[in-house]
Amino acid sequence: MLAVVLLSGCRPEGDSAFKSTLFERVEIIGGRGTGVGEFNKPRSLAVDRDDNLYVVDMTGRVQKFSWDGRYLAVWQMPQTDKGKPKGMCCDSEGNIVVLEPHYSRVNHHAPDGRLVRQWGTHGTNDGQLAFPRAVAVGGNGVVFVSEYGLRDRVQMFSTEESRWLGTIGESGDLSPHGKVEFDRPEGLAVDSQGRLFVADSCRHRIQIFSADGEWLASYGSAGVANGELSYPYDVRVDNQGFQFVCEFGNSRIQVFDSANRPVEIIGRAGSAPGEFSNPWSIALDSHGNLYVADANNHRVQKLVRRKGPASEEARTQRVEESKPNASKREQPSPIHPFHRSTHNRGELEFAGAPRA
Amino acid sequence: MKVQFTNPHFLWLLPMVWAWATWLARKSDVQAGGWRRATALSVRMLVLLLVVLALAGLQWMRPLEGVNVFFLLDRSESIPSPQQEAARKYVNAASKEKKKTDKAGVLVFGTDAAIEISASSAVDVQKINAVVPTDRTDVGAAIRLGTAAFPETGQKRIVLLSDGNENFGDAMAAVLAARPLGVTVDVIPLGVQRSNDVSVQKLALPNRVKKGQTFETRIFINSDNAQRATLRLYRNDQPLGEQKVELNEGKNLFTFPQTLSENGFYGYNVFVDTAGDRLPQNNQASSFTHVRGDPNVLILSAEPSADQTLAMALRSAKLEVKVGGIEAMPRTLAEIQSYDTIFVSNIAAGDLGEEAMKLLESAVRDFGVGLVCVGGDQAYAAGGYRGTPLETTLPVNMELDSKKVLPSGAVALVMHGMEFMDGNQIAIGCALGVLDALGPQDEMGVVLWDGKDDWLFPMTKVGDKRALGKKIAGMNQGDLPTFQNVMTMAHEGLKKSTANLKHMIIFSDGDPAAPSQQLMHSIVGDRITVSTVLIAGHAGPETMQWIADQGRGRFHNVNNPGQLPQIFIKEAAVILKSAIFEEPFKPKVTAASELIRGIAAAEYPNLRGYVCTTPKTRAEIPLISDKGDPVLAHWQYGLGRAVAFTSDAKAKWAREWLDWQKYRQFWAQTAQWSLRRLENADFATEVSIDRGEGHISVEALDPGGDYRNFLNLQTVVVSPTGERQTVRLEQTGPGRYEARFPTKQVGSYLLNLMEIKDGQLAASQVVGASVNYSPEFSAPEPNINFLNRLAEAGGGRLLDPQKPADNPFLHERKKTYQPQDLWEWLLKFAVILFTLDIGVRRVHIDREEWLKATQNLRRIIFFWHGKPRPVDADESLAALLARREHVRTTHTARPVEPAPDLFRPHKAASIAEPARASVPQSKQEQAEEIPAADKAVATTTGRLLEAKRKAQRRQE
Repeated sequence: MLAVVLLSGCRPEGDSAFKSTLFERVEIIGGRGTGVGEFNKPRSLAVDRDDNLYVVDMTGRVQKFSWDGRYLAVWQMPQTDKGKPKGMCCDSEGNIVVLEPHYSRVNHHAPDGRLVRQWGTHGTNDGQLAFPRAVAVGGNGVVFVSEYGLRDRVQMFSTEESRWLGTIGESGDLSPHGKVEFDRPEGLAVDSQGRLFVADSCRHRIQIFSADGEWLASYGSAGVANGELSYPYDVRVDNQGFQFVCEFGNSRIQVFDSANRPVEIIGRAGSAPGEFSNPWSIALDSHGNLYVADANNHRVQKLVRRKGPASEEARTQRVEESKPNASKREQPSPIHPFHRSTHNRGELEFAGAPRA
Repeated sequence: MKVQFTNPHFLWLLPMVWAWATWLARKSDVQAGGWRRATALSVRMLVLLLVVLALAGLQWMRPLEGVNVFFLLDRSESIPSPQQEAARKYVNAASKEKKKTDKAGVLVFGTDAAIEISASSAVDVQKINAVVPTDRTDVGAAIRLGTAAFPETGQKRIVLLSDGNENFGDAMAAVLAARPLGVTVDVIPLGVQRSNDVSVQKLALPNRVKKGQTFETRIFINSDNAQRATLRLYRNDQPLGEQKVELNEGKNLFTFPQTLSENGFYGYNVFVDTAGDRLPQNNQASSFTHVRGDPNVLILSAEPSADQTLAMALRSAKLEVKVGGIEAMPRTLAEIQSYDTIFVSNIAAGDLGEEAMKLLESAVRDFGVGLVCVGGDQAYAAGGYRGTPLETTLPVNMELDSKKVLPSGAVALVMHGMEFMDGNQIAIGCALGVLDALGPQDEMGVVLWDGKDDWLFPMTKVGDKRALGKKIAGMNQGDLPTFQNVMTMAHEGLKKSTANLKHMIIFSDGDPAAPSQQLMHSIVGDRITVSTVLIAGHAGPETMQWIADQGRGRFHNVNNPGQLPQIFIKEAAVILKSAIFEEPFKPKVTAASELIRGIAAAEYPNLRGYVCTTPKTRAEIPLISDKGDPVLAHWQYGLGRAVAFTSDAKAKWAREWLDWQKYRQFWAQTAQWSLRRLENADFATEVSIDRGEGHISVEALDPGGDYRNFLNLQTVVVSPTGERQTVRLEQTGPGRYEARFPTKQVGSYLLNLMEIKDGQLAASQVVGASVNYSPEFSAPEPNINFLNRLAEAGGGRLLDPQKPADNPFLHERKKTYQPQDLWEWLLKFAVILFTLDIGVRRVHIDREEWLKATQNLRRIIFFWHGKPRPVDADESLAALLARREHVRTTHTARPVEPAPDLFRPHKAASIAEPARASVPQSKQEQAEEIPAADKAVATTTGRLLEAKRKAQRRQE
């Protein structure tokens, strides 16, 4: 029966404007609309263990697609009056985590849409959530949740009981709500080494933290040149160490290598295949294919990874003009970013160890 | 193969043209064999047939598979929520059975219709997102929209899920219009049978009563069962009392005597409570009446205590005066009717609000109520009246003379994309409101996110409002990541401006990141104020509040988008203080007027300030300032009169006037002039409202009791939301006139009945009626008969959702056809055949040539060229000559021996050609010996050679 409902799937687009050393082509999933397989400003993506894609848009629906872009299922988030869901990832149990920023809630859905778990209370204290925007799960099962508005911070929670483990980001004097570390952290990613990457969007930079929240590096500054960023809204890191930064402001994807050096720029502002209009979120599947929530074009674009040694070539084709950022990268954080009020340092080692 | 013709009448040409072709063929004297003549005639007739078919518009009907089904879901209030949800689920369930070629779409309707999902191959409706007003059922609108939304090809089927209680529009007409377009209508009945319902049908009051007169409030109640009930009566929202009553089954009438001792407007509400009534929405009714005495004046003032002197002056002229703040403004047009003139004293347009201004305009224009606008620092241009209904009503314009050099203001708008319904459209309306409120010397700029932080237009002098308005109308602002950049841009723009007052207005849902403290410091340091307007706030108001606090502006937390324009105008007025002149001056009298009768020009004391305005063309301006600007202006606007006094009537600007002995006379005369002309029509008028339609009936009798016939009666009907329409009454009997008008909204409808004689208003009468509750709550049960008739007229049937065979994708599937034009091909074919026709007539091909041609054709087609043999030119020539000789020997006489003397003249020519003279005789003789044919070749060759030589010489 469901077969009748199946939709068109991916449409490969042979567009000459799309050039990338890492990706061979682009495929389009969906189009504008409120029907099945259609989107109204998709803002968040997630990929599950089976490489199925989940897309949440401004209709408050989470739609599920197969790896080849076929529509599989949909579920509606029940409350959307205050605002729409935004922020997704796949948790350590294979469930899809969907944030509801305006309700300060974190929902864990089974891949069939069943609500498995829901947690989060509104507030600005440690362990409470105020306008959560992005979520990522580390290899050790730690759930990172970023917030902005009342507090611009990243909080860490345990998987089991969603217990608060710590906070990255601290109040300061530079602006009303304290934005020494972050100014609207819209995207989070955890790499294979467990490091946390934060898309610090209104500071136009990516900040990197160790698994226990120690600041390691940051790169990027406002601009349009190579290595410069404009409102990075999301970031993902693949197994080879490539960092994919979704630039909302420049309407493009910029790739950095593991040494934070710019590798290439993919796409530009526009509506043709391979072009983007204020992309909001990205997601990587197990084959290194990159999905882009092309929000204002109301579609998802799939960048299909080249097979073979092309990726290695890309690693060597680093753009040399990125030197201005080098000095910034090495600057240490002005203030120790890890804020722990109630725990001692020993408790930071949360590599899956159950707590008493 | 199925075909059709678009212009079948052209087929009549066929016998005619065929007859002509036959006649022409018979008459023709072309020498040709019988079979050629017959072939030519056949081909020609075929050509003519093709041309005629092309003219007749032959179309091939291409067969198509697939059914397009549009589900029309009734979302009106008469459908209980569980049934609405069941209808949504039914759509999903039915769509699962559809074939791949089928398409389904979903449309929801109430008062209006909206497409939820356009026709697509897969439908899975999780939630109905489209929002439609639900207090009426307009099935016709839904059918029309559904018909228009079908794809061009495929079977078209509408499935209507409704209770059939239509109370607006005409569904049957829509179905009949849809049928010729190939649309069929199936129906699934919804709705429930209501029982034990009690409803108030009407609360009847006389339109107007005299002070102290006793009248009856009559309450009509309908009850399904005999039962006990409690009646509660309210007057002007104050309880008058309650009474236990016994209701009989059917209609019940209860009356309560009332006496009113004060002038004014009286609104009555009645509620009936019964146990177990499942539909309480229809248990109430309202109505109103007026008590008329001395003329009533309302003074609305920003500072009521300061306007007491004005009130006393008016009271001394036997006027009943009520003074109040903005809260005293009547909320409905019916309430305004109890006043004969309204004074608006120094109230800003933003405080008054768009709705109140519209009410005032309608009261003056349509009901003849007077309006006197008294100035101050928050009035006229300084109060943001520019572009408002108040400006339209007043006799002065807020646009100032371009020659006047005035200090200017600058405002920058920061616009954020809105996520709520029509959010961006509302934002556009607000920005246009600000633009309207600004003067040509003021500056405006709009900064937003359109993929990047950008100016929609930078700080620009508001000279050409149309050009800026167009830009604003096309504004498509996106989701701002942060306020920092846009506010920096707005700050830079305002900093460069030379305006005296600079203001920034931020419009957002509050979720962009906050600007830095440094930026706010530098904005405030540059004497720029910042106000914030939070609408549909999701991230909490803190950021917006903080910006407004830091920016020394105001913070508005708006929940109702309807308030936004008002707030924006109020904010724009921050920079509009430039039109105020605060210097003492003595008003000059420029013309005699009823308003200033008996006051000599020299008597006017000084005024200390006024707001600069420009008089309208038709306005009379009895008083002007020392600079020539209007101080007192008045005119007739519609049925009413409006006065503008640009200075004030209190101690601020009119301190010397307060002690002036003619202060009272001046204001009393102004008020008297503006008063509503008393209603004088003596008609027996009845207004009733039933099932979404209003009905006015008038009985006109003269003082002698005879019928007044052939009157020109019309009525202005003003809806609860201020929409206005003029309806003409038709005479339906002796002295009886009637008209109907639509009533789409719940609330009071006010009618000004006018008798027009010789193009002039001869008499008028104000009447009204109330729509107590949505007619959705009137019908006790689904209208199955109506639904049946719709299905019958629509070529469909009543479907049972439980029966699988009734699935709209499965039953009565019909193959549909898509017409495809063939005329182009027909004409092309006709052109080819026409050349064949000519060929058959004019070209004779014998058998040998035919064989040769076919042989060549075979070679071309089958690429067979035989064995190539080099062609020898000499051999060919020899063969030709041999052939010639052979022919000559067999067919002609014996060849004649060449006779060299045959053409030689007996005498030499007397005048020899110079060229020929130079040619030696021997050569000439040689030439003559050449046979004629060879000579011709020789001469041709010679000429060619000669030409070649010449060309070579030229090149050298």
